[in-house]
Amino acid sequence: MTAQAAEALIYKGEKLSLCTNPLGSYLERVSSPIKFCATSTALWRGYIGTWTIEGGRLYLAKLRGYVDKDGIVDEVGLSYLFPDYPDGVFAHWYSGELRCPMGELLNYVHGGYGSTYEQDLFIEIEKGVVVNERLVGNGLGKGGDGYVLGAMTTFGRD
Amino acid sequence: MPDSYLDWFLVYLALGVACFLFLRLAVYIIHRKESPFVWVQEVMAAFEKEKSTLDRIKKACTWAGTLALFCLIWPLAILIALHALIFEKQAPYYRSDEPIFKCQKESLIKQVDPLEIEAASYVTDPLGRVPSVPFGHLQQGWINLLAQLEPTDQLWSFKTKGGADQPSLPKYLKSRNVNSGFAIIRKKKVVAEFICDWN
Repeated sequence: MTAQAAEALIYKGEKLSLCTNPLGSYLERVSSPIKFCATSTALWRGYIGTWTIEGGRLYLAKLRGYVDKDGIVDEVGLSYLFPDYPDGVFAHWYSGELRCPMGELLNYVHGGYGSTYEQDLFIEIEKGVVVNERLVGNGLGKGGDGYVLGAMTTFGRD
Repeated sequence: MPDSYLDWFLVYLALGVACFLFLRLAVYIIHRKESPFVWVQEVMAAFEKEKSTLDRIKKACTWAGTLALFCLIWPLAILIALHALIFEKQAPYYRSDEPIFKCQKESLIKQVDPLEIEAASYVTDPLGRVPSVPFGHLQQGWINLLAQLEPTDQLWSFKTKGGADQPSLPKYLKSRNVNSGFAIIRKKKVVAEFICDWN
């Protein structure tokens, strides 16, 4: 299994990698007939969502997904899933902890979101509302040149 | 009637031999029924190479020893066999086409009224990014559940236990273990569920 491309989270003005898939629980709960298709082994779920936290709430702001239309892979956006909310949806269905790895890659794991980075920002969400956040240090990298792009699973800092 | 202890012992052994023969016959018949290819094996055995004298002696000794042991302890052997047949639980049988639900009997909380649930399930958002309907963006899941509700069914709320089985995992990996929502109970069985909170 290949390391998976992360979701994106815009939080406090920064674009972070999000190694959690809040949309997955939505798709399962509504038994959505929409099936995204994998375009590469680094994206088995078939979509990448861009999430934002505004006013202490988690929103799905953008979506780039891939669906199979009569044998042709077509790119679709948020309106494909939420036709009435093309500008964003409140992710009230999600409760759990978001994980945003930050910093230099310390240990690459060739599968899922298993790689370790210098820091992990955990944001605890309760029914779409932020209830807590904590920053966990995992060690220091060798580079020391700031944040870098690592193994397609993180965007680092702009 | 037997006159001496030796006579009684011989009767006991004779009963053991009779039981042994009866059980051996029963096993033979049952196995013949289970496997239609037994006769093929018997025909193939007839064409097998003649066994050596040593093999025959070994086989005869095994049979004689088994018979002697059984004749001595046959009441105990029958009791053990009966106990195994009656009291020992059989392996659970699962039909592969039966759906598997997160909600189990021990997860059920209380019977609920669909209308009351709907009234309490509206989601609001200051940016207006959620529909003003029961369960917001999850409404389709609720509709799917209600579509399966029959007049004699019961709707129950439920909450599963979770997390305790993975104490060593970090919190973000332990999420999604506690599921809560609503389930349809039909004839004391869960037949459909809608998970609205997954933590």
